[in-house]
Parts: sequence; C-alpha cells; structure tokens
Amino acid sequence: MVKLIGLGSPFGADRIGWKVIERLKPSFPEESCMRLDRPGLRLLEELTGVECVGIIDAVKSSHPPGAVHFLNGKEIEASTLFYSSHGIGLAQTLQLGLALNLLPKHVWLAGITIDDGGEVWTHLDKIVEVIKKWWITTRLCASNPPYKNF
Amino acid sequence: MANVSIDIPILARVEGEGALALSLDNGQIKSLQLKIYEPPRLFEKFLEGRDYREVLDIVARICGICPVAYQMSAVHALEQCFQMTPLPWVREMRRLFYCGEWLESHNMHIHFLAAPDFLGCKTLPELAKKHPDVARRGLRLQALGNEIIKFLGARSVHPVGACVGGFFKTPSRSEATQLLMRLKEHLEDAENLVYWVNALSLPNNSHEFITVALKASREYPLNEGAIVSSQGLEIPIEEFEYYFKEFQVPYSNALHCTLQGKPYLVGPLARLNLNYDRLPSVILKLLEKLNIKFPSDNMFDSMLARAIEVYYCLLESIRVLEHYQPESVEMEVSPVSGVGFGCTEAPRGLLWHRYEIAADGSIKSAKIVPPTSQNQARIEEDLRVSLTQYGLNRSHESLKNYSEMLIRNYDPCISCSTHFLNLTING
Repeated sequence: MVKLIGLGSPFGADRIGWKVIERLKPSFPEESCMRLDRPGLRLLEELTGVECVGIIDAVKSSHPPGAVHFLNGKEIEASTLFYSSHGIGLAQTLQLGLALNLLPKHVWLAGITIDDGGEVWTHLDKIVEVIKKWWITTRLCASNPPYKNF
Repeated sequence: MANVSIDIPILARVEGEGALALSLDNGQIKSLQLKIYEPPRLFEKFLEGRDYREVLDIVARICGICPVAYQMSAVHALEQCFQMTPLPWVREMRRLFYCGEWLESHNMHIHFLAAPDFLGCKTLPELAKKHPDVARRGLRLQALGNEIIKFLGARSVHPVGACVGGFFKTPSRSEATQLLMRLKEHLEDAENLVYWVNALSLPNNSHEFITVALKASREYPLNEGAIVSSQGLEIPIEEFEYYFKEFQVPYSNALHCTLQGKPYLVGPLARLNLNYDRLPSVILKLLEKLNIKFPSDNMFDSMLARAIEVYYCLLESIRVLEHYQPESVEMEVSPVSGVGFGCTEAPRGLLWHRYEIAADGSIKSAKIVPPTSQNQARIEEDLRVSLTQYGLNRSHESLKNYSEMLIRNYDPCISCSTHFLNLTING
C-alpha cells in the first residue's frame, strides 16, 4: 500500500499539508490520501501495513515561505526543521517507529516552509506542482526493490 | 549561594508551550513562575452566536488528546439546559467513549512522556531501544483507546459521533463483539502495567495538598457526580463558581484557579484519593495484594493512579460491551433558553463548562475551565515544596531536571489551558 499523508492543524499556515493533499488527491487515485490533525504517535497506527509513505507537513526553515524541502527517512530523523509545539513531534515519532521496526520501507517527506503570516498561501499553486512532480518520481524510486531509505 | 537564576525556556515532553522561571536568593526560593506562553485560543468567544449543534465539533478542536472530554462536558451542559435526561444506553456508551480517551491519554503519558524520567532515558528512541517491550505495550494500549473512540466517534482524533441526545450512529453488535475481544486480549497488559509502575523507583515528595474530583453515587467518576474535595467540600456542579475563582497572573496566558483562595489538585491522583472506594473489587484485591494504599500524599503516585485507571478503563469497557445491544437513539431536541452546566473527568481532571443559550438554540455565552488551568497554582505550590525538600543547593542542571519531572508528572495540557514550559532560574 502507498499512502500520501498531509499533517497539520486547522490553525493558519499549519493547514498547508492538508490543502496540498486535497489538491493532489485527484492526480493519484491509486494512493490512499489522508489528512491527519497533529497525530503524534497515532501516525504509527496509520503506517501499519504501508509499503511506502509520502508525508507532507509544514516546517520552519531559514528559507522563504513556500520553499519546499524534500527529505528521505534518515534526513527526517536527523532534521531540526519540524515545528511541533507538542510533546511528541514527527521526527520523534519516526525515530520511535524506527527503533521498534514499525516503519514502512520507504518514508519520504515534503516539508513546506511557513512563517507566522499567511505568505505561503500565495505560493500554493506552485507548491502543489512541485510536490506533484516530486511524488511522481519518488514513488517510482520506492517501487524499485533495492532502494531503502531506512 | 547568593542569587541563582534557573531558566527552563521550553519544557520537553509536555503538550503545548510553557516555561519555568525560578529565582533563588540565599538558598531560598525568591520567585517561581510557571509561564504558559502559548497564545490564548479564544474558544469561548468563538462559540458565541453559534448554533448548539455546532458546539461539540468546535470544542473537540480545543485538544487533540482529550476531545471526548470537551464533548462530554459540553453535551451534558446543553442537555441540562434543554431539560433532557440521557437514556440508559447513551449513559453507558458515554462511559465507554470516555474510557477510550483515558486509555489513549494515560498510556501516552505513562509510556512516552513520563517513563523516560524513571528509566534513565533522555529520549523516546533511547527508551524504545532499551525498553522495547515497554514502548510496544504503550502503543498497544494507546491504540486500544483509539479503537474505542472510533467505535462511537467514527474517528479517534476529534471524533464526530456524539450529539445532543446521544450518538449519530449506533455501532452494530458484530462491531461491539470484535472490540470486546480485542479488549479482553489486552487485560493482561493492563494488569501488568499496574505491577510495572508499582515496581518503578518513583521519588517520594509527600506533602499536604487539597484534592478535588467528581464523586458519583456508585461508580468511579467519568461523566457525573458532585464536586468533592479532600477538605469536605461537596457541592453540585452548578455551584462551582461560588467556591472556585479564576484569575489572571501577568506571566501566564492561562487563568489560575483556586478553591476558596487555595491551590488544589485535579486529575488521576485526586480522583483515586477521593474515589478509592468506587473501584471494582478485582482492582481493590490487586492493590491489597501489592500493598498499594490510597489516599496518597506523594505526588509521584499520580503515575500509579494513572496505571490503575488504565486497568479500570479496560474492565469498565468490557463490562459495558459484554451486554451490548444496539439501540436506536433518536431523541428529539427542543432548544430551551437558559443556562446549562456540565462537569466531567477529563484524563487530566475536572473539566467544567457553562453555557447560556438563547431560545433559538444559539450560544449567548460560554465558560470553560480546563484541568491544567486548575492545576497551575498547585504545580507552583508543589515546585516550591518539592524543590526545597530536594535541596536548593544542588546544581542548576539537577534542579532543572527535577523541576521538569515535577511538572511533567501533572501531564499538563498547555494547549487546553490557554484557551505551558521554558525554565528560568535566577539566584
């Protein structure tokens, strides 16, 4: 099973992952596309039985709002980009999943840079296009058995 | 030691954003401030002018960990205003729904937020590598809680199944049977959890404090009961505002709340201290066997109280589902103008709601008093006493770590309270 998951919350620019998933869904009818609201460890439940997952989330970075960072599993694990005000964020969840051998073979992330304002929304069309192209290529890599990003 | 300043700018492994500023002068605590800087979230104002049917979906969004609690306090308040009494089936299902949330929230705290403190692990991955069985049990029991919430709420985060009068959809008997089987498979996990927490070397910071919880006539409290305290208070939920006062402090975005001017504790330890006699005999026998005694004045027994409540939730869920019969619950709702009160036991403690409703069913005003906000003054009181007991002449690092552990022990949900922690120590 291949999943595309948009993470976020209803608040401001943190919704960007959800919005992108809504726009991508018609282009990837074979993927299970879903939006999750700050799932924390519940993300691991959603990854059970999944072979390949693409996660789309808002991140903080030194780049301007709208800049998209593409990371593989190891890079996600080591990343400091994630903006989680809550107890257990994405990086920790994936680290825990890795330690317990609960992760899909292929984990990928598109991190969309946001700021405290709403500038990211002015780049939505471009963001969707960039992520769509990335996912078309990435899922092909994921289907290539020798490649494992963890 | 002259002046010492200790700053914890961001508290780790708590829900939301907060800090602690501690100032010591000549070996004494000069000032101590639990700063909740997560921005105010203004939910009470959002509710004004909304139709009563929108309330449960809106309040569920206050918290991703305890949406059921918000929905349950709200639904009871609305039904009280509309002079509705929930049917017995609805009452039972609401208990089950709430057990799901306690299981999810308590297991998250015990296994992933608090356990690293007691197992000498600094991070979750370290915990998972050194104690994979503990982490896996946490995930299993947490997932079980989520399954219960989905059973009645259609999804585990911000469920959408509850409504005024009951639930939108009645689960089938086969769905109930499947869930019952899953619950029975995990009873041993829950019982083992009590043994495991009891065997941990929990610190002892015993001191006197006031506890407050609901107390029901027969059962362990979830959705109903009078508000009682360890000092003899026993009042109906409608009288909350006469005894409990909320007030603002300049350094926190969450209101403090005191009982007749004094800090008090809500949550698992308060509940168990005040409701030990409401536990089922199977748990009482286990506690007797393990020589576990409540009430306890050791705040770290909160962890044990949570574990006991996990076991209780599993047993209570099984009790409800063993006699499950699907019922159609379509109650006609006729809005009545007036005021309604709801008070239930969220995983972290008492959650009080008050709504003033117009004749057309729109909300005129809303007041929500969440548990973390009620515990703030108690956390500060605990830090003052426990840090002094611990020894203020210890290193900054040691004081910082112990402070964080003390705060984490309350399982504070800062996002809820702002409707929490960086540590600054001066001295």
